[in-house]
Amino acid sequence: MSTPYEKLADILVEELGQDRDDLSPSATFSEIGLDSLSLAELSVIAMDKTGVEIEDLTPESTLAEAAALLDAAASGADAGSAI
Amino acid sequence: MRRDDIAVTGMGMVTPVGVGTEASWQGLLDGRSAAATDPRLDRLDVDFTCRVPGFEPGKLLGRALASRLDSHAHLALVAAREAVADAGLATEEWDATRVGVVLGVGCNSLEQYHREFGRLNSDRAKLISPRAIVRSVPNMVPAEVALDLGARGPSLAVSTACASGTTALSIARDLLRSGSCDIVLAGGSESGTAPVTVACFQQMRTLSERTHDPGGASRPFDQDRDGFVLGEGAGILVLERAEHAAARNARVHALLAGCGNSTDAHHVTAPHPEGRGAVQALRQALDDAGLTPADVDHVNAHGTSTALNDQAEHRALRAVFGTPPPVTANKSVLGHCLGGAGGIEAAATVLSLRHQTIPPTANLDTLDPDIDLDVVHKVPRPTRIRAALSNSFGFGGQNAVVVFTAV
Repeated sequence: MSTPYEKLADILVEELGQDRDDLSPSATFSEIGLDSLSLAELSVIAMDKTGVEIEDLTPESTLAEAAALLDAAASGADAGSAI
Repeated sequence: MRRDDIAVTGMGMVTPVGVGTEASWQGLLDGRSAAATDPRLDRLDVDFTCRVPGFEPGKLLGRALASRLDSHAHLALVAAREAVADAGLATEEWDATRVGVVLGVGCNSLEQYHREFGRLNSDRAKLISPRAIVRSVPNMVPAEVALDLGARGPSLAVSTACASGTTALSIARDLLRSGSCDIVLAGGSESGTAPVTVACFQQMRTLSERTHDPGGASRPFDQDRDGFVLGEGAGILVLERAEHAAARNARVHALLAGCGNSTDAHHVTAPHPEGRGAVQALRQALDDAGLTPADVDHVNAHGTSTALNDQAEHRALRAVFGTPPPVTANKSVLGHCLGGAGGIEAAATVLSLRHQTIPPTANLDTLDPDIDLDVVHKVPRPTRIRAALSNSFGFGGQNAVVVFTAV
């Protein structure tokens, strides 16, 4: 069972062509070269793969924040309790 | 060369016989059809196309860039990068505001629409890709090439069906003649090999149904031809005024000496039986180049392998030339790359001029008894070529002809 961060990293590598070596929980989407259109694409792919919708991502969000949102949406828990 | 001659200084090709101009030329000289069955098509009556072998956009363009583009843009970017390198241009040194991009697009990206329609029709509209529009609309191919190269002059998509790539050369020529640009990348790209594209063309009864012999299916001018074979690819030329090319000591492959464009206004898909629009475009191109039919030593035919096209093209060539010069049909080897075909065949015509050799038409076993043309077949033919034409005729009755001359 992969963690929310691992699920997110897999989507970034396999679907959006990112280099896994560039990814880290503290990196922002802007730092890894994703713009707002890419984030919209990421949200749709994540919804397709996990069945949950992650909203409110910005280019300045970190990957850890996005993973927390993914986890929170999946579990229905508060984002703050994830990761 | 005159100062306002239009010089071809670079070429890029991605075709079903190879990635790159050299591989594509060798494949054309070998003269074997690239058609093969494709497992993606196994539920269709026509299950074969001509695909680019070993084409890995992620390796050629980087995975992040490749992941956000569709096939027609992958093909165009690879060909455009090769063309710029072949022209000896350094993108960090050129005046970017004077560099244009004009590319032919035939069918957009039907595959992208097919995917998104599937989501829409199964109540999954929220899963439609946010990139569906920017991946698929026609203007994005020249826009992505301009973005990739940093070309900041006009970038235009030209759509005249199967003539698109050739029409693009004509528009590019005008941008150079008018002084709007100093350099224009022109040609076309398309991947017409997705199941939805094959199914749509098959329902029009335009494709060869020779499923027992895909390699023999594309047979322009042969008496047993029964339709075309869909292909994919890109062909892009770097064009500039001769004075501009000379000022930077660029190698000139050939001159784009004339262009002719016309519309049949006869039928939505069938060519005029006497090739009326084709004759008009051929004569206009020759007049534009200041040439007579006797000056032309080779015609790179549209030659789709459909019953109607090949007959109408034959009649048009007889009307213009009396006895036409030797002809070849690259679609016998490459299939029909739709919006990419004109650019690819223009590059092949320039290569014929440069190498003074006409590549063979594959699968011509028995010339249609109603067609009286000298079709080069089986083996390449070395011959003196001073001027050569490339013909492209599209559904919609849209015709484009370009004339290239040796330097």
